[in-house]
Amino acid sequence: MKKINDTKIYIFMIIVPLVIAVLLGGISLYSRLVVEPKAKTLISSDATMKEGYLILREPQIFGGYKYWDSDGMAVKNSLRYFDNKIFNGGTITTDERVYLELVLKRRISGSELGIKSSFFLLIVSLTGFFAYITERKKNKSK
Amino acid sequence: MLNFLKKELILSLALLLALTACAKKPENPLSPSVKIGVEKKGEDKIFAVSFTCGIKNENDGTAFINIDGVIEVKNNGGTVVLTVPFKLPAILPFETGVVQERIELTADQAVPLLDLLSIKKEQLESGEEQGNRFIEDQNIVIKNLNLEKKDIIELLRSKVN
Repeated sequence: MKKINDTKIYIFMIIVPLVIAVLLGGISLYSRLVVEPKAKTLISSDATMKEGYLILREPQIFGGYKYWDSDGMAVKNSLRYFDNKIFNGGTITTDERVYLELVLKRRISGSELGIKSSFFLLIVSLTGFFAYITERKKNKSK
Repeated sequence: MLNFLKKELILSLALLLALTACAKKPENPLSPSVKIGVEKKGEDKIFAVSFTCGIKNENDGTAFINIDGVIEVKNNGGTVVLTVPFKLPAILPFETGVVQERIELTADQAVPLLDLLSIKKEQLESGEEQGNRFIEDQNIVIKNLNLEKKDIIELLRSKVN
């Protein structure tokens, strides 16, 4: 029986997860290293809480505000509350900071999930790479 | 092979963009109800219909502003028995905008609506009937809905600055 050359499949197995991993990892790391510290600093001061909220209002790719798990309901209510408050010219008080932190926590969970998913995809890509090398060695030895 | 991958990647990104860019427009009014009362206007009797319903914005990142439209109540034969024009300044994400409108109808205009809601005109006039009714979903539709979709961050930023 003719041996099938699997190298093309392995190339797909290397490239596709790698591209997705780089995209997701890049976005999640940017969130982790730039956006989240900035939002944290802004919401820690009374004067800049609104600015901080506006940064948090843009969801992280894995912490989207339209996907509602049980933890997300509290975030949804916070978003509704703060959107309404800012739209009507209200101010965010110190007592309400805890709800901003809830939204920040959601964002952190999202970026964590993004980073972990990137690692998983990199492992898949790496496995494909080893399989590709092995397959090439086998084909050369024939 | 790389060309093929490029095509796949572009298609996936285009699909992702299309899915994320689409903001869902409200399709049906929520919990529509009416309260019909008889009032005197000069020499004539009029039927004052207080119409209430909610319009939900199910989007997470898109606000609706400058909303206007017409809500039509139809009987089971499809004939329009009540037309409610409405305007709302804004409905923010996850919010439900409340439409509250008062429509005045003459006795002739009110009859088809009273029939649909199984309200007896005489009982309404005598005060035996309170005139409160919910409207079934199949009898109500939003027509000519116009609204501006605005990114919530952009909208809130304009309020902060």
